Amino acid sequence: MWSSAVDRAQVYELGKKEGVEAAVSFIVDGQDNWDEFPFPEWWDGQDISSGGPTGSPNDSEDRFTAWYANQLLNANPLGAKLFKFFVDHAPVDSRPLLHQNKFIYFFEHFDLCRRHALGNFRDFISELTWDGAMMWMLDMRSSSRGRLNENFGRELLELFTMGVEGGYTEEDVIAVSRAFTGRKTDTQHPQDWPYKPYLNQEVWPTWPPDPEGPSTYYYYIDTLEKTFLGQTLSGFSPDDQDTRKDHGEEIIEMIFNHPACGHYLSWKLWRYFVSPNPPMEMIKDLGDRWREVHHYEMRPLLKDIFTSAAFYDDSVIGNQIKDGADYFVSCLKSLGVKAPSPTLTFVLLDRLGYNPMYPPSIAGWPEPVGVGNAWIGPEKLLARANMPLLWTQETKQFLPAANDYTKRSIVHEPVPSDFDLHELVPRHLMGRENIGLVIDELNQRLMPMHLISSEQRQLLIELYERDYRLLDDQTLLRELIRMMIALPEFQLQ
Amino acid sequence: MVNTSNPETFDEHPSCCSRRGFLNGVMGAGLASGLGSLFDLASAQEGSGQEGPIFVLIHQAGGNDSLNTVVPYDTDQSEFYYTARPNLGLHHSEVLPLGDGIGLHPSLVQLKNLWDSGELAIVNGVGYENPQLSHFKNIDIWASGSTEALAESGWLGRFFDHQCSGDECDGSFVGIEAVERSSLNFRGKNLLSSLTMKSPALFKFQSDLGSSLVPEGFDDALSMTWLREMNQRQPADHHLVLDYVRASLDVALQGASSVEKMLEASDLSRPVGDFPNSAIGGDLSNIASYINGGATASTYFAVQGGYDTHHNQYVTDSAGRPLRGRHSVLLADFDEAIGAFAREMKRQGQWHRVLLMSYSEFSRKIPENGNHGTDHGAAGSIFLAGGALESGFFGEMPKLIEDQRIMNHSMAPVVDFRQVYRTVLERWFHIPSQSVESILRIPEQSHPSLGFLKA
Repeated sequence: MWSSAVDRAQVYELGKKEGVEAAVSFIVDGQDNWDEFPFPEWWDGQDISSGGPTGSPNDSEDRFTAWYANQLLNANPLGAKLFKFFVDHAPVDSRPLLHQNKFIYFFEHFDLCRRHALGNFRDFISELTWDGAMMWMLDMRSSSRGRLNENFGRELLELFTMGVEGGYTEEDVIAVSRAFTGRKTDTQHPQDWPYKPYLNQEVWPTWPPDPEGPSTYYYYIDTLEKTFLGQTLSGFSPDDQDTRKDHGEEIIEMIFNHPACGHYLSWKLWRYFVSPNPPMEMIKDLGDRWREVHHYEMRPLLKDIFTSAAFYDDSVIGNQIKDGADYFVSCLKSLGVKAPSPTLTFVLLDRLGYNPMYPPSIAGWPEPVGVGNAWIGPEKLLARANMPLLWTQETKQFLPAANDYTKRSIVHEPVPSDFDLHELVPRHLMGRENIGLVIDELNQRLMPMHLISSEQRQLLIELYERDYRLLDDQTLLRELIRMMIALPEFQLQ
Repeated sequence: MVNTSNPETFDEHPSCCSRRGFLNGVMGAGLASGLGSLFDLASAQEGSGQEGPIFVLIHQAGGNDSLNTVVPYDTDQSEFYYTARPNLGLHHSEVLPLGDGIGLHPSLVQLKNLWDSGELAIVNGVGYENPQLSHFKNIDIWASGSTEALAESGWLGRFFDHQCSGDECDGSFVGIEAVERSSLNFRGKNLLSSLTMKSPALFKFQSDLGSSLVPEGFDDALSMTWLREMNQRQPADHHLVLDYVRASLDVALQGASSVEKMLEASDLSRPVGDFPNSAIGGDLSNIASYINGGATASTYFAVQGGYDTHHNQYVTDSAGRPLRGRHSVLLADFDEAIGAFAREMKRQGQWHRVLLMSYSEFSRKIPENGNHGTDHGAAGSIFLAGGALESGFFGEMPKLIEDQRIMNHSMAPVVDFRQVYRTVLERWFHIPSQSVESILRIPEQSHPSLGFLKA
């Protein structure tokens, strides 16, 4: 989890006094605090591609990324972790939305992910089927009766709910795609559309379409009979549309009544939080309980996971590789610094392989599991080793291969010098004679899951003493901290 | 690429049946032997390079629409082609004719030139039986060379393992992926026989402390030395994942030195040739630089994304004249990048030892969908280019009416994709057929090599 050392100590004390369940409840029942992170003022700007401090089209990318990264850093830690999970679970690419007034869909999509982060998974999916950004991402906006596009239907089943082994057929993919025809975005009137049941905006197309009315844009609904998972949904006349809109909600109902959905999400969450090899029997139990007892509420499922015996098995503790965002957050928290300028935040996350504007595919970013995993390939480890230098030293050449825009922006908004060495190394421990104590302190604070060995500790002392004559104590200690953050031990959580 | 269906778990990983197996695998190329260099510096300085065969693999990610890439515009299938694709069908006057009533998409001008000069082979109907229509399943299937459920290693990774089974590789890289995230294609037992390097300019360890307090003449390599020495010391406990990160860091630090020297020696940062200013253009330009610079790697991989053309694949104006749609733009970029790569290889006198192959995880359905696009399909055509191949058509063009009926609107496989792999391993790299058998895990009898390379 992304807590600070202080938070960790607090939870640990609670667990010791009142038991694991109390500690878990303390974490899971914590209130999310999204209202502390409102959309920036420019979010519904008519033309997102210009304006901003430097008047560059990169501005909206940078500032969006900064808004998101700030939440990863400073929101309720579990909420932030789940927020990131859902941004990855149903990712959208900003490219088609990065001009004119479509960028608000991107904000709304991220808002959808965070509002349901600790909420109800079924509600999340239900709203996702009305999500403007997703309509662009998976072509739902252009899928209509008689002009079908399977993109959304397929991924709804394969990636968002049932999993590729979920037991559905190609015919089911088509049935689902047909059920979600007619749901559109309207780039002319973004404030009126998409229809948002959760905002009680009862805007629905009439049939036949009224050429004068707002419905002109979105009347292509397939109301014919469909068969999904062996069950038949009877067709209805478009005239009945005051009582029945489309088959979408019924399809969602059927998906969530099927055991595959609970199993798939429990499996994915276990891999996200715990380990790459979930015991499948346990996953099935978790998933069934989530469906039958918890009705897809996130908090009880998380409690079930965090209180299970397998969660505390030695083999899974500290077994996880930090993904790019985990590294970013833990590095900044370890150094005790704030996020740098929007442009630098964007560039750093991008170089760590986690650019929230551009997911690698509709399946999201690589999972941080397994050997050979993409998060800690040599190129990414170099980015990780270079990043702390921004704060620990006053280097001016810190970003190899920075483009002109980035260079200009660094001049415009330099990295704040808010790194305080003495937060990590108390003043009374400065000086050559205390180096052993300093290393022990840093070891505990930076890598509590994987302490360095006594052999490595000894080497550090030798290196420090060898180079003490060459550099001043401050520069050397700062470099020591940067080096420890670059160690493999720091890359695990 | 994330793999949601097939967990890449330690237990399932071939090198991970035992801790020792894992350590041998990971450490083999990295820590234990002392990593060799990424480049053969001596030859780089002379500009001559190595002599062995080179294989460049390009993944057209998203599912390229084969039927609008290699177009049956005047065959016994044409009538049905135009019926199934009233809007997307490419007309007689647009395509670049190859003969037999088959033509290339109008964007593929460079490929047409390669075809005319006998440097392009097209294998039609490539796929596998009982096709899946998921991107992620198919990406794993093509990369692993296996249609079985659990993809734990890549076909090229197993090829690297074979190449590096003795001391032959001597710890130097045999593959370079010009991608941001390592792919399953290159994954083998010896996890570090290949390098993932998207940008050589970023493959750098920052040593300059920039502090005004650093004395004149101070050794900038301080941190790098510290980090490398720390990384090679015994850690507190041997932990599977930790050991992997340690090995990867070691490769990073040694690779960074090696790349830096290379940048100095051969001016690698200077763009070569007239590559398009695009992602795939940049990646192929980098690969051309590595080859020119005498890289030890035999195998390269790059990805061009964006082929998931569910909508606006191709558009016409009100008079029915073709305008450039998404597919045209993608193929033009692909074509220009390959054209530039071929010209650069020829200029450097390397083309005779280069085999370039492109593939997509699947092709798209026969009929267009309602959005001037196409949905996920199955088998399709793939391209091979090079200075030493047999030009022409291989495999068979799809039988559209029949396929539409029995294959749920997709095209049926005629050639198994592993036959293409077999041809590359057997006839390009001259791997003995017994070893090919163990790399591809399919019998030669049912999956023989194809004729695009001479036996």
